[in-house]
Amino acid sequence: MGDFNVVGENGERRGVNVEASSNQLLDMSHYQNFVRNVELEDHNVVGRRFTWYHPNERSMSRIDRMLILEEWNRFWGDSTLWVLPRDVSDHCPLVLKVGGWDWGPKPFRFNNYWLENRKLKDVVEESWNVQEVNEWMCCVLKDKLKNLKGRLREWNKEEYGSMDTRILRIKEEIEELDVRGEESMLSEEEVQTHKDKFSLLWSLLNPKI
Amino acid sequence: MSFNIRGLGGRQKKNKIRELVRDHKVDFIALQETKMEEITARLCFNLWRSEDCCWEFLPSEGNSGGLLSIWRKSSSTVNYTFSREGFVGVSLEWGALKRRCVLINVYAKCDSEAKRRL
Repeated sequence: MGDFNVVGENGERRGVNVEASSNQLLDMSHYQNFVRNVELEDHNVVGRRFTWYHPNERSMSRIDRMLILEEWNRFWGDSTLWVLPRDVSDHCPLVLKVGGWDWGPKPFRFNNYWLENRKLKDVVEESWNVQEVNEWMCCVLKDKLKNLKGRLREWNKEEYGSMDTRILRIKEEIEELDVRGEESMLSEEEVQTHKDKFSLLWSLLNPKI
Repeated sequence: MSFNIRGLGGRQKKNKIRELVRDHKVDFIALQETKMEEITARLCFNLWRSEDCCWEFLPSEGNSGGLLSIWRKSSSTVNYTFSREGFVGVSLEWGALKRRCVLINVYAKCDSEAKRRL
């Protein structure tokens, strides 16, 4: 496991220079031979597609990995390899979770400490009642939950705009941009936002120490 | 867990590792690019949040590279360790069932020559 500094195939990198140089192609084929020779398998990943991001936020690749023996699963049971969000490094941490199924990041985040806040009930009710009901019921439910999620997030920001939650939020925003950047090229503006968020994150992390 | 931390010197980096160890109940962590020539017991205990750990490391060459593997002592017995330029390996017997596992922490430099040697 570790940083192999090479991609296994061209699809594992994205960026400004899409054409791989002859040196990169050679590295790639050396790597492929190596994996074949040691009879290891590249553990597939979930969470994100890439593990390393260039400071320009547009080049990214999957160069960190875990290679496992074929019989790994027989000994250890099912495993999931997560690529976690990054913050203090330009690489993402990888975590291999063994046993039991891990469903990943929760699509609806709810902080238990909200329950101690009297305003919560009103916020939820207000958001819940604001929508019209003239669709399929399941779509209504989905939309209502989606709206509530957004509203609760805003409310959390208004109500708990403290340092720790600010740091948490910036990390989430960086994560969102990272994920969007994996799907499509970020705009100039988004790249700048991304950079700003990183410098903000660092400035917030520093006074904490 | 495996993570290229890009230098273990700063407090933020250490705190990040401590967080990861806690949040994911890590049994074994492989860190790359520690950029540290020396690893002390104090540092490992700090990162691991307890003294229940063993570690093996490869010093950085000045400000470049450096590997550190840390794992839970009470869950394992060490058979042997091995390291060379670019990797640190440990062979462990893990858990009550004493399952044998070999875990190798790898850092390949960007330089193609070094990568091929590895």
